[in-house]
Amino acid sequence: MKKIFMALLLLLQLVTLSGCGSQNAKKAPVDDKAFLIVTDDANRNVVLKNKPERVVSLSPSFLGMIDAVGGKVIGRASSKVGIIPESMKDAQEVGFTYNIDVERVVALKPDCVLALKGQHDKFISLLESNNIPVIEIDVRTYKEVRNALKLIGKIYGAEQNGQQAAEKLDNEISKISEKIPKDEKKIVILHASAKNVTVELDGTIAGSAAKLLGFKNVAAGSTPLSGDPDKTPYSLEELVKNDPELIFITSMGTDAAIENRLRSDVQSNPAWNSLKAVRENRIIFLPEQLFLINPGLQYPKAVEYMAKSVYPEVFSNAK
Amino acid sequence: MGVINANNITVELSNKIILKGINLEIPVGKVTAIIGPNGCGKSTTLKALARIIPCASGKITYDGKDIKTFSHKEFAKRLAILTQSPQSPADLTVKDLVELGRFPHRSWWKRNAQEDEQCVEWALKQASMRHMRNRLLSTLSGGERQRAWIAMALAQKPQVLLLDEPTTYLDISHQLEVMKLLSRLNKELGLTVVMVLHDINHALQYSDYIAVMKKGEMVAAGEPRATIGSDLLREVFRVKVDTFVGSNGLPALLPVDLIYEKN
Amino acid sequence: MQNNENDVTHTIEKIGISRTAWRFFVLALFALLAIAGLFLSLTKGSLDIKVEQIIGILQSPQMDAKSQIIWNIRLPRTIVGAFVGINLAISGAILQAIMRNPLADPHIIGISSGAGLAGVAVMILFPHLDYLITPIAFLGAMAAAVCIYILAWKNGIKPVRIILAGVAVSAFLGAGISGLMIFYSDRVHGALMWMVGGLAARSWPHVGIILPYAIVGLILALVCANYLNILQLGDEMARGLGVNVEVVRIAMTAIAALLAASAVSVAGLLGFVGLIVPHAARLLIGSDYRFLLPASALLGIGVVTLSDTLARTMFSPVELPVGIIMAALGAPFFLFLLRREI
Repeated sequence: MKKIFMALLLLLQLVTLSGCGSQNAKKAPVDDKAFLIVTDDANRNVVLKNKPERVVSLSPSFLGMIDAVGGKVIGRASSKVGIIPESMKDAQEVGFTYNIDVERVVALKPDCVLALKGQHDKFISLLESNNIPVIEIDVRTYKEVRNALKLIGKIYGAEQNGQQAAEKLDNEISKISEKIPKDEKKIVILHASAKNVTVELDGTIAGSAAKLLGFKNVAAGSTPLSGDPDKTPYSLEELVKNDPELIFITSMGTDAAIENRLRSDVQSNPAWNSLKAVRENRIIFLPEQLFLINPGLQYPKAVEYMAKSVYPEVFSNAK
Repeated sequence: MGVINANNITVELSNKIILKGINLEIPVGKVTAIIGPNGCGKSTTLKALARIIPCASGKITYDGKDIKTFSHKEFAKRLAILTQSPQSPADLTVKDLVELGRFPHRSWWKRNAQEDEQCVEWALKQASMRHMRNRLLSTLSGGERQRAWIAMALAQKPQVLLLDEPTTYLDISHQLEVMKLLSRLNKELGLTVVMVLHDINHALQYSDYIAVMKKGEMVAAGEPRATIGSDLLREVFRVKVDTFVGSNGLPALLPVDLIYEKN
Repeated sequence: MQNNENDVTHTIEKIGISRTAWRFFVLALFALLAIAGLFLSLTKGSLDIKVEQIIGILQSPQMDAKSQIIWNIRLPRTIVGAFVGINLAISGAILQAIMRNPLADPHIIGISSGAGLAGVAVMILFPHLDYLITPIAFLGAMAAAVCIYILAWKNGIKPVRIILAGVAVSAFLGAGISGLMIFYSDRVHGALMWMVGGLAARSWPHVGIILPYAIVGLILALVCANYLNILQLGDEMARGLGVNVEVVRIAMTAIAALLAASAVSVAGLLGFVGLIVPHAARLLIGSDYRFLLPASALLGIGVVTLSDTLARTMFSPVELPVGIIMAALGAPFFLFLLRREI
């Protein structure tokens, strides 16, 4: 009986939460005098009346891009990893990106807040009720990063800079992908653990980088389980059937110890050993700094890391 | 020296003293009744004798030996107890129940299925339950169910049988049924019977020895007719009674009035 | 309880067979279900492999995909699934007897939460110790069981006290798990999968882990069936029949904890098996533990292997964790119980 009661209570909570969920796209009143009207990555129409002078970034991933277009922030998310541009180190910290202190944000009286799509949805209505426009940006796939650069350029009234920064990224990446052979290697990207088989699809950083390099992700096209559109539990048997040539593993930790452990976990498990790539030790680890945390401007670095680890000969010669 | 001797036993429950130094000698081969008003501790006494609740102090002996020195199974082979309203799973048949009574006689290495089977049959016969062996306990009448439990106790092949208010929830005919069964078992098998009874008349008519308790103490004990007099009834039960002799030659009491305690 | 066990009895009487015959029939039924589960688990998957091929592979394995899949993935996974089913079902059956509560299961007694917190703590705080998850989860489970016993002890153990203590400890540990997942929300994913319960990537090492506990636990449980039967008469009558109730209760709880903890350490927190399987078995075969324990074991094998096969193949190539299927089965079962009022 207790369990039934708990189940009903849970159901009630779920229903209530979904009611408080995402806001529908609001139609902003057309205002000719507005500085900028944009549709952000969450399909929201946001109106910026004036050019923003007091911007708060809720994700460290935006900072590099803001810097690239010559912008500044008055507040930013704290970060333990990742690079923070010099000019922004002194900006007010408002908590880690997964644990934002919204009161601090409001206290800074910003005129524009840049939020990470999916991460900060819960703060939007609160910020907007304080008349603070919020722009949601997604920066996981490469395409999203390019678009973000352009959008950020527009927000700071430096559209040109944004455009140029995006093109610069394009160039860097083509330089890398040109070097490597176009052999369309079959790959799979595993997420962080030997205990379960979770594969990353095209929408993750690693997935995106792999796509840019022309690799074929054997899991691409699978319908993910709802909740996380970029990862999905996968059948190990399917992997054996598809026989990927390479296995990437995104790890959750920078320790060499963790990497060694994961590697030996995978290699000592007979189930994993049914994959040829495991038996022949064609496992490549993708570090947390480049592949777990949104790399933003560092995208070329992520792509380069992946390319170098797959084709070390190509890159050592180029030196 | 009775077969069971309780020597100055005290029993505590949740820091309350239930029994305050009880002395009791259970005579072998006889039927003993323990009576007293509600809350006097008669059930507790019975359970202490059966070693199913512990004593805070004092000693209980069985055949002269301290009951704490027996192993659980050894003691269960000598003494069987039937508690008030015992539980049972809904799909238990009479035979299942009686078979459980053989538990003390079974062990890892010794498994005498034949002896068990014979004993179970014997117990069912003694309690006149053979024809109902496959009936579910839950479908039996009160009296039948009580007989089934008694059959289980008999399967333990005890020398002493303890019963906690075996007739309290039964209707008149079933009450007599059970009392007569116990009487017969006592006479034919020499089974020592100790029962906690609510009904003073049953105690008078069916027991050889009576112990009377009040508020955790033993007030009187002895031969029924001698022990239960109007004084005792007034002091312990606070009733005024008329005494009769029934057509079966046995004494009977009829309560006629309440006696209020003088403050 | 009264009405429903009588339903089965009346049906048996109507059909005219003896109760023992019925019970063996039910056992045979569950055995068939178990065999079906094992069969489907071995033959179905991303590659459908026929029985003849399986036998061929077992005799002389090759290096091709099919052999690899059978030897390293499906066979050990099926075996692990079967043992997990046995262990959890028997653990639940034992706890239901000891607690005299038909809704008792390893989750209630807090074992699962103990294993859960220990496992999640390792995954999130000490990912470099990931390979130690199994023994650590096990220790967590036993530690939780000990805690609960200590809390529930008051001149002996009453079933109600164990359940209350278990719920309290479960809630506390559950809060710990949630806390860890909130503060380290970037590392949550792997932990979540483990918490739902699944058999992905389980192989021979895991068989090695659960096998000894399964064998020991199974033997002990079957041998103690009579004690469990007597405990159903209540503590006082059980004592009167010569059972040392305190010792037996502690020992049987330890056995149940051992069985459940070993299952949790290889398969994560797989819910409902410990609750539904023995309960369902009881509805058909009655409460004689000499029959109920083997029935629960067989039904456990069938339920887990069939659910796992379903989970693997339903959305191929995406693989659901088996815990989700169990939860989906659990809800209607509870509604069914609600209608019959247990």
